[in-house]
This record gives sequence, C-alpha cells and structure tokens, in this order.
Amino acid sequence: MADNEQKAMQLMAEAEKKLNSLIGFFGSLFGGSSKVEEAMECYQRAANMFKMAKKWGAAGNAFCEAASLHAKAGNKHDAATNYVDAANCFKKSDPNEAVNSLLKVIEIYTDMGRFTMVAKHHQSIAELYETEAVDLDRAVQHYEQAADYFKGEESNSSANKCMLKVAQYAAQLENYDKAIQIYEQVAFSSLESSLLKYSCKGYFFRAALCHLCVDVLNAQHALEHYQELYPAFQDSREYKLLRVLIDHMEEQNVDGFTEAVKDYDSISRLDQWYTTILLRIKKRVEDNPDLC
Amino acid sequence: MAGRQYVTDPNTPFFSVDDDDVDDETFLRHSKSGSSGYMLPNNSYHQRNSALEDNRLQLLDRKKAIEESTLQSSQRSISLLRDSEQIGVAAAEELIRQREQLERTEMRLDEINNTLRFSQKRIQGIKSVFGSFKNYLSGKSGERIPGPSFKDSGSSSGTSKKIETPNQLASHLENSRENLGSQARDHPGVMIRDLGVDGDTWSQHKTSSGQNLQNVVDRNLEDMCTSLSHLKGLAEVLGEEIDCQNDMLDRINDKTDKADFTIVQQNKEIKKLLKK
Repeated sequence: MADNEQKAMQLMAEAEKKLNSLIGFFGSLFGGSSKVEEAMECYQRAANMFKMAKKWGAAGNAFCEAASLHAKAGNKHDAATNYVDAANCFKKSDPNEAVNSLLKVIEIYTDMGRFTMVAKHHQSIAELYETEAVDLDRAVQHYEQAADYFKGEESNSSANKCMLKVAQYAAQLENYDKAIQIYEQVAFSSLESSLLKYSCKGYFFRAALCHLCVDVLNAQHALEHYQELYPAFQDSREYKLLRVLIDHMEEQNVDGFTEAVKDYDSISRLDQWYTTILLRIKKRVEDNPDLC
Repeated sequence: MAGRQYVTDPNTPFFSVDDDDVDDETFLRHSKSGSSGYMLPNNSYHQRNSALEDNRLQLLDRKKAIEESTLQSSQRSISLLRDSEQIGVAAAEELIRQREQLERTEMRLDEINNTLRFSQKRIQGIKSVFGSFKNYLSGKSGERIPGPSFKDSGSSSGTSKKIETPNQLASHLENSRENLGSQARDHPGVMIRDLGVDGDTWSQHKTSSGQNLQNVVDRNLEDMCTSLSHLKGLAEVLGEEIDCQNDMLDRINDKTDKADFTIVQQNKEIKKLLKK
C-alpha cells in the first residue's frame, strides 16, 4: 500500500513536470499535444494508484486534474468520465468535493445535451445530500431537477421515483399541499399501468394522511374520490385504518386513535415517515378541542 | 391421634385396620367432602369423577392453547402476506424502470447500427473505384428502413402486451372478488369448524368466547384469501413483464454483437486504407 502511494506521488510529479515543460515556445510547437496527453495519462495512472492505496482525497484530486486537462483539450466525454471518477473517490472522503465534481459533470453533459445522464447525476447529488452531508432543502431541489429532466426524456418511472422522494421530504418539512399534489399525481398515473396498480393504494394512503394533517373534511372528500377511481382501495387495510382514524378524530378520541394505529402496526410495520406524520395528526387531535 | 392419621392421608379409601374406632367428635367435625378419608363406600366414585374432571379441564386448556396459537399464526400469516405484497410492488416498479432503460438502449443501438451502415458505405466508396460505383448503383434507398422496423416491432409488442394485461388483470380481479365469498365458505377448515361448533355440547358455557375466536379466525382467513389473490395477480403480471424483458434483452444482445462486429471490421478496413 505504501509503495503504491509513493508510485502515485511520483506519477503526479512527472505529470506536473510534463505540463510545466510546455511553457517553452518550441515545446508547445512541437510536442504540445502529445505532452498534454501524456500528462493526462500520468494523472490517471496516479489517481488509480491512489485509489489502490485508499487515499481517496488525493485520488479525487488527480482525477480532477486529468478532467480539467481533457476539458481544455476539448474531449468532453473523457472530461466528464474523469469528473465522475473524481466524485466517486470524493464520496468516501469529502461529500462537498464530490458534489462540486458532480456539478461540473452536469455542466458538461448539459452542454452535450445528454439529459438522461444529467438527471442521473442530479439524483446522485440529492442522495449525497440525503445521507452524507445532510441538507434536506438542497436534496429536495436536486430531486426536483432530476425529476424534470427525467420527464423531459420520457423516463416516467424514474421521474416518479424522484418526485416521491420530494413528496416524502415535503411532508416531513410540513409542506403538505405539495406532498398531496405529488402523491395524487403519481397515483393517478400509476392507475393506468397494470403493474403499477398495486402500488396505488400505498400512494393514496400517504396522500390521505397528508390531507389529515391539514383538514379532516378534505381527507374525507379525498377518500371518496380515491374510492371512485380505484374500487379495490375500499377492501384494503389502509382504507379501513383511515376510516377508523377519521372517526376517532371526529370524536376527539386519542386513545382509540393510538389503539387503531397499534393494531395496524402489529400486522404491517409502519416506517419512520408514517410514524412522524401519524404523531403530528395525533397532536392535532389533542390540541384542537373543536374540529368542526 | 387417630383423627390426625386420617386427615393427613385423605386419599386412601381404606383405613388402617388398626384402629376402627373413630372419635365421634372428629367424625362429626370432618366435612363430607369427596376427598375425605371418612367417607366409606362413595369414595372411589368421587375419585373417578375427580380424575375425569381433571381430564376435562386439561383438554379445555389444550383447546384454548390451540385456538390461541391458531389465531396468532393466522395473524402472522397475514402480516407475511402483506410484506410479500409490498416487496412485489417494489419489484414491479423497478421492473418498469428497467424496461424503460432497455427500450432506450435498444433505440440507441438501432441508431448506432444505422450510423455504422453509413460509415460502411463511405468506406466502400473510399476503398476503390468499383466500391464507389457499387454505392451509386445500390442508391440511397435501402439505408433507413430496417432500423425503425426493429424499433416499432419492439415497442409495439411491448405496448400490445401492456394493453392485454390490464384487461386480463381487471377480469382476474373481478373473478377473485366474486370467488372470495364462495371460497371462504367452501374452505375445508371453515367447514370442519362449523361442524365442530354444532357438535360441541360439552363446553356450552365456553361457546360464546369460542365462537368469537372462530369469527376472528374466519375473518383472518378471508383476509389471507384476498391477499393471496392479490399476490397471484401481481406475480402473473410480474412474470409476463419479465418474459417481455427477456425477449428485449435477447434482441439487444444480438444488436450489440452485430454493432461490435461491424465496428471491428470497419476499424480494420480503415487501418488498411490509412496505411495505403
């Protein structure tokens, strides 16, 4: 491992030397392009050695240098590939640097018009903001951009995937209207596909819960609307739970509410998002003495 | 003293022959319970009765335990079925994404193959005079046609399958919902339980709670029926989707091989031309 790193440092030094040797007039005339290419190659090899030695920061830097050289030489594809490699290395050490590299990649691909790749990289950035460098606002922003690009390229299921994440975080940040809109939209478009029909009840459930956070009457209307569109929704456990919850909310019965939720949880686990939203609804019942 | 001997050993139906004399007072004080040693000829009868009573209580306990475990296992089954449904739904969404990617890949491969055909013509033109003459004769007609036909056949077969499956699925769902009522009734377990409840004259006082349990278990079984029919529908649709994607993958494989081969050949020809 140690000598890999040393080899890598040597290669970096070599590459820099090659670049510096271009300063002379004759150097740039005669051996210009091949020197640059050799330098690029040296940087890439150095970066690979750093990767083997697990020095992610140095590897990322080396890839960035190679990429900028490619960009100057006009090889956009290679530049983009190197920036992606740099981002992968940075993911393990410094998420912000990774985001920077990915932003550069996005610039290059947008110029080339490869919007699918742009969308995928926006999604990667959003995932980074979700997990490593937690910044929900920017994550939501990037997910939205990714969804727009996906829709532009007619990849509707990938677009839906990103929009669902946006809705999830919107609901967590109490932006219920947006969440409701997105869930309903995705559910209505899923109704038409034979495969995606089965996931509709999940989306209707989430949309109805967000309605409940805002207003009970809205929730009831929404439930009836969903029932008309998707009759099988009525037989599902989710619909029954929602009915019970609405009844308890109208009667201000907090214990019954908790009981019903516990009952449902014993059959199928409710994950953290559901628990948060249900807790908020429960607080509404406790705080608001008169819901009429 | 004599009394104490009898009291400490209540289950023996026979006294010790040593002392036939029983104290009057102790005799009178001793109550007429079935387990008392003082009771003379009725003792064995009560003994048998108590053994039967114990047996009965034991069997009732076992019945309760079995009912409890049935109820719990039915609840566990329901939750497992729902988990499977969730997993199936997630798999379906992934499959659809994959299908979109495969379709895009196929489109791009068609474009690649078209471009390669163009470049082949150019190379032929460069190679020799005869080559360019051949080009002129074959004309520009036969270039674009094969590509879009592949694309259309691919996407049309995909969409036709999609149109088929909603109808199949919708009819399937309706059938399953109709059958649900009759299924629940015809289920052998339910029928046996019905007979069991009728013929159970023993524990009359327990029938009310027993029937409650029966109802809950029946409802759980109905839920399981619904879940299973959902799962069956989902599995069928997933299977069809996977078959369709398998076909797409085969086609993509063929096209990639063709493109690969063409590129290698063209590389060789260009190298030859450059050396010339």
